Amino acid sequence: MNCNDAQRLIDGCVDGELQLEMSIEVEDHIASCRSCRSLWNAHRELSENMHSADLRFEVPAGLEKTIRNAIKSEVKQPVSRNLRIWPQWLRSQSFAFGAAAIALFALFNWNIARFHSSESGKNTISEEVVSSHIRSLMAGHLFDVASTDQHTVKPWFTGKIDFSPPVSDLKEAGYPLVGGRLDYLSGHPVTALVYKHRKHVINLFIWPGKTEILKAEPVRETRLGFNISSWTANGMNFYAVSDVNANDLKEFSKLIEDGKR
Amino acid sequence: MVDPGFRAFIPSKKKFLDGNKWNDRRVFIEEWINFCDFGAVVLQDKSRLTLYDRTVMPHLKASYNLARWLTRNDQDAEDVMQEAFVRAFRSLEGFRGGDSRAWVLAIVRNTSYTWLKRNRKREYELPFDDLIYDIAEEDKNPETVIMKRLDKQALTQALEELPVEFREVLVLREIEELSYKEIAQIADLPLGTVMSRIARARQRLLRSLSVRMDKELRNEL
Repeated sequence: MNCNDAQRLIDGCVDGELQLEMSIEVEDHIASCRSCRSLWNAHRELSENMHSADLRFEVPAGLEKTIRNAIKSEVKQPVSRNLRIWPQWLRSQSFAFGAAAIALFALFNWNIARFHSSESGKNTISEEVVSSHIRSLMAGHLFDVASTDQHTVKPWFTGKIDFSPPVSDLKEAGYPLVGGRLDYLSGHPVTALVYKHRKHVINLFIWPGKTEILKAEPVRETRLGFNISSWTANGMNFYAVSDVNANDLKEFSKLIEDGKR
Repeated sequence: MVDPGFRAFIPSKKKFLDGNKWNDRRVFIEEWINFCDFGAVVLQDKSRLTLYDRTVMPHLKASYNLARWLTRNDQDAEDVMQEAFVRAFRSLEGFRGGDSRAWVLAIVRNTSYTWLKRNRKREYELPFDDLIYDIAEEDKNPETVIMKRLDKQALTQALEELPVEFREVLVLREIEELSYKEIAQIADLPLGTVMSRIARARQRLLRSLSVRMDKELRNEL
């Protein structure tokens, strides 16, 4: 260790802040070097003198009380106002009201939109079914195959569609089968079976797939005055549409379901 | 040590330990509201005062001593103290355990420096650079003043005449008897700089003391 190194470390040594090895090295150097020893002595003595000289300034009598009073007034006023992160305009009452109004308005609109979309989204099938039902009546195109015999109607569909619809005659119950035709609903070819109930026509649309509806129990609704009953069974979607009253349609739906089983 | 500034919202865990679900929710909401208001979890007044009494007030003596040495004037020291201690109260949230003395002294030191910049501009503006006071430029072999007993007055005067950067490290080291590590934390210096600054401060103090003694000797003669 040369004098430069030692002089850099002398004060650390005097203050006992050096690691043991380092401090031994410094002490070794001091023992052999006169000028560094005198420097070390001077610094050590100065340090000792300052310790013993009691250079501390005593706290004035009134200071603690003054500080406590200042703190008290600090507590009374809201503390650390300068710390707040939201700017003044964001904190104002009018802003709060405005924000609340906007939020309410948005919520309201959103609800309406949701209501509308669900109305239209969920019920496109129902609408199409009703349209198809009306079209079949208006165009006089009720059936492609006119037969009251289920064993004639069912085979007719073979080869025209890729599924086999359950066809049952319900003549005894007052719902005679009168025919069947091919129809087209939301991009699928579907079976339409035509039944009569007194003077009313009942269109029963059947197509495979669980995509649109998943209802074991018939769901009833009314559109444009027509009653609709829909359900899903054995992977088939059933839609019965007619202008018969709701109870008759319900009975019909039940009969179809039972007959099929 | 400056104001804590922005902090993420952290609900205080201690208050949540009583197992009461509804109380937990109430505390959480209260703290959230406070957080939105202040940008930090603000302690309730009562616990604030308790915390203040425990962490800040015990260091009143050391703080005043430091402020007095840095400002070199009773009245100014009191002003600085008041400002610093109110600042400490406001930024209690910024203290996260550990060495409360170093935390408080750092606030006092920073407040003193701000005060010096504002009120003693000329004195403070003297550029301070550790390199200017390189130990090599000062005489390496001072005629060793054999100080069997230096009187308090001479020491005080000599110390007051030192530049404030030297004064502060000596006050913290010799009067408050702080470690280099604590001094580094308070004065915001690297550890190595603390040591070299103390070395230069002692060197200058010794020289000024020897000049003073020479004068006294001459006067006596």
